[in-house]
Amino acid sequence: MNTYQFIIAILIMAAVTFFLRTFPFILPSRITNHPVLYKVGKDLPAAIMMMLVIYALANISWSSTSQAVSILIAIAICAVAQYFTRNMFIAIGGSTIFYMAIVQGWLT
Amino acid sequence: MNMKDLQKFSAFKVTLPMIFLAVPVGITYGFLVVQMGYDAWLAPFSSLLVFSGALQFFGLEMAESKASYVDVTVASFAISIRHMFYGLPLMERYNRMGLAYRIMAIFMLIDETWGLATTTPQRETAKQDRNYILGLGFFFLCYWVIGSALGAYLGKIFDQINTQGTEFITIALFVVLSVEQIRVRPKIFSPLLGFSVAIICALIFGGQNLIFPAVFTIFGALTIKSIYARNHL
Repeated sequence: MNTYQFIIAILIMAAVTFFLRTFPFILPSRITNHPVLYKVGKDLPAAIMMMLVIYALANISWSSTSQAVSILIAIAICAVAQYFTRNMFIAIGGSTIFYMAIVQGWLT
Repeated sequence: MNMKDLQKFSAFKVTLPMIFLAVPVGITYGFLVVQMGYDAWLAPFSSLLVFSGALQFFGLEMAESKASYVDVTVASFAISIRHMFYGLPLMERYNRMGLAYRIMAIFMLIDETWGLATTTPQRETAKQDRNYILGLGFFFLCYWVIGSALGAYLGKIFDQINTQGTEFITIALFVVLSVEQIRVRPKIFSPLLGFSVAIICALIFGGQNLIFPAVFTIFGALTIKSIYARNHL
């Protein structure tokens, strides 16, 4: 694409994404306030959050067994740290530094 | 620091770890935009307008392969379709905002801010809650746009820094949010559903394409469960 076409593509991506984010808010409130959808809305985040974990996992490069094992250990560290400390900095920071140390070979 | 200060700064505080995610990824994005021969300003420009990492990277692939505008539209729907449902759990909190604030908050409804907004507790007053939700989006947008600009204008400098492994921050964030979701609503059905549907869709459709089928399967299953629960209570 040339610059002009790329700008058009950016505008299309922006418009579609904004439309989809707006979608539930332009529906009539008798639909979105319906008890069935209300309950779906309450259950949705837990399910989507797990889906995003899998999505993120599926889209990093799985180069070796040792890397795969270190990802699983890092996830376990993160989950346990969050469960006991309820501190995002400790959970995210600790597990990410652990993972970086393994893949960048700080320890070898 | 008293409670009031804590609430004022809490949006900044909870997005702080995201600097190490959004800035390096933004730098990579900006660097690629310039590498492909586009003007540097297009990187922060597109980050500001689209505000979706997954779609923007895919957009570069499409630009490279000279995809048609129809292809761009279809791909945008396929990748962003999950956002269609993100408003549902936040409906009450969003409808309390004025229209202009609501539009801004809707624009900034990305995976990370949505996850944080639905997982962390609602603020005491409507105004505090509005500022909290807007703050989450605003800080994340800043990191993303600044990162894209840095990568586009100064890309070569950052080539020296080894950021290998920082991609784990995305996974860590969603793991943290999953743990908190299970704590807030100690029901195993939803997380188990999301987990198994995502894995099955990844195996059938491939990791890159799992969002579209998975989101609709999850939404359908939760709707059926909700209707069933209503009829049997």
